[in-house]
Amino acid sequence: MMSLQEIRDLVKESTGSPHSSFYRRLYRIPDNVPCLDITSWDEWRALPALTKDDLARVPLKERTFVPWNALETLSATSGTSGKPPVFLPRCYLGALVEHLLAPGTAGGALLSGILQYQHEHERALEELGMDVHVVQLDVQNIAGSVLMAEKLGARTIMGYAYAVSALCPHVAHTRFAESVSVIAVAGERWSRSEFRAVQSVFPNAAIRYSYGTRESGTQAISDVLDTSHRPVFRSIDAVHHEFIDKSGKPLELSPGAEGEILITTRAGAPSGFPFLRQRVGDVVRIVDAQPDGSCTFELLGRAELEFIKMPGGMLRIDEIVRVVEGLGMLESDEFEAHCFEEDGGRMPRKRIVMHLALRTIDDAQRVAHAIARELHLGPSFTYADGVREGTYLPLTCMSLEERRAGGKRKRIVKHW
Amino acid sequence: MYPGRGIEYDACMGTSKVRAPHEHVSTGEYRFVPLRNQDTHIPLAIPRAWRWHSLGRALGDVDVRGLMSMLPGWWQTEPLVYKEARLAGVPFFLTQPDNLAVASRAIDTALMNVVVIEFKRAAGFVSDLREHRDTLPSLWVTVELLGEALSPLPYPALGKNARREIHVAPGVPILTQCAFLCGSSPSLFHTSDTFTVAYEQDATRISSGEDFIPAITGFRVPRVLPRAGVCECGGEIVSL
Repeated sequence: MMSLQEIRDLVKESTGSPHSSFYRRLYRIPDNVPCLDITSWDEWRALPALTKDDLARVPLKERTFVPWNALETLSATSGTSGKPPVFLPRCYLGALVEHLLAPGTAGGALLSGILQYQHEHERALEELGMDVHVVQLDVQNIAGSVLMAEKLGARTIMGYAYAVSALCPHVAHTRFAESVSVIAVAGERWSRSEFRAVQSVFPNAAIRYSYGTRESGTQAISDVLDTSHRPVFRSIDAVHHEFIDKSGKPLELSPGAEGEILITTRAGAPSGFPFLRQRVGDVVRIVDAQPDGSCTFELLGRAELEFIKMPGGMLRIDEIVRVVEGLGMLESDEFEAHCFEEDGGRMPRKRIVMHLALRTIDDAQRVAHAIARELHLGPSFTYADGVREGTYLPLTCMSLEERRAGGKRKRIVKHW
Repeated sequence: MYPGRGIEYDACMGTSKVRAPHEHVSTGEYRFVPLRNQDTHIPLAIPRAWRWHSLGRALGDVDVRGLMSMLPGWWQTEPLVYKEARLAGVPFFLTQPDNLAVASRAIDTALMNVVVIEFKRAAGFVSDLREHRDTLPSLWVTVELLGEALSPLPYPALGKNARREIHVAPGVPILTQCAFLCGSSPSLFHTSDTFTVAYEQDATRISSGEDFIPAITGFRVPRVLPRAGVCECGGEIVSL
């Protein structure tokens, strides 16, 4: 975690930048004040949190903290909030790869399913003096990516949980799967059954988790899994994490306390965009708290669930709204989409139960078929396609009234 | 065989041969791209210092503000495209080929005005862009792999600032277009300096220079690439 002095320096640099007045405007700093100088944690905590809306309001160039010709890449926010992606300026972040690599990786290859820039992995490995080829795992051509990785002797897989899960059916019972000794997972965690399924495909792989964001890179790593295979994270040194409760006040750090995480990180040197108290929308539970303010935590999920990643694509709330509104077979367009996961075959299969304002329960099957036909999880992939290929179980419907009264009536509920 | 023991490939592609020297080489000196589009059992080693020169030249010919790649991830071309963006002094953005929503938004809000895209996906993307907005990229660079270049797909209407390239393997162009050829005819090209071209009665054979690893000897394109005059840039034109 960062010290107060490190935070102070970062705030000074960010508010005194010659390239961007983004934070000056966000904090309403008068023109005659060269930069903001905070001297206590209370002053720091009084600064407003950075949100995606704050970023979206300002054109990209005006929130770029290096000259345009020094800017290396852009990252797009993941869209997990359901809002359009926002592009963020980015310089080399460094990649926290050394603790994720399998013994013996040097001279071989790393199969990376993270939508991170391949050249950044290569650079990080070069800086470590490691001769490792980085092979991009492309979920649209898994077979091609795996063949390349296998030929180059990959022993480590690094990827988002959904990408590693997508890999499993393609490599089950192969020598490649047996040869993999480390799987480094980023992003959303697996359910217990997904975890078991991955373990069965990669019997010799240790599974290591990291937590981060696309725009600011790795934030925390997991050394241990708790008893239910949920990773417990500790923040890395280069970042500062705070936790707030539902009212936005600082969370009292005690085991079991739940709140949203705020991220502060320089994000590169030079930094394309420094993140100060960024509210990313992830909810965590404190596992262990220390007197110095550090803690370990587990990731619970999103504060607001607007989509769920599924094999073959993404179940998005706006897509469900589109389909439900277009049906013309319901009393209203309110719904709850309950998503379940059931064991079966090589990988657990997903199942959706739609709670809808049915005119009569006799309509349930007809409506279910219509939704499955129309509901897209990818540009050319419907729920019905997923059922046909055995990835999903058939969609079913039930009456909304039977489920719940009151509350938000257009929502996705995840049950794993 | 790989890893670390030198590289040896004997890729039969009809009567074509792609061979790498058999001497031991340090793996760190090379990167790998898939040789065929639908079958990647032949990783092609190219020098790590390899540059996609035609892309670099294309960027030099327009007022480029940002470079976006929509090439397939498994082509392993990201470091090559990134390198050209850095040399041009512009930011680089990578997105998945089918994520048209993010790609269009990058053009609208992130100043990405040069797009590198696989040939077969360009038509769908440009049609999506035209449907929803007036702004189009300043420059398109479309890439086809040699095996696909002979397909009857019509060249998409991308406007006059579209450069068509045909690659032996992703990031290794054999047929390219300069600023004069671009937009004039999608079937007129220059051959890359990396290769020599020999004509036969019903085919064209392409070979790499001596310093290119792996050596490509007599790569057979099953049609003649007739000479079609001299370009305003001074280079010889061939027709596909």
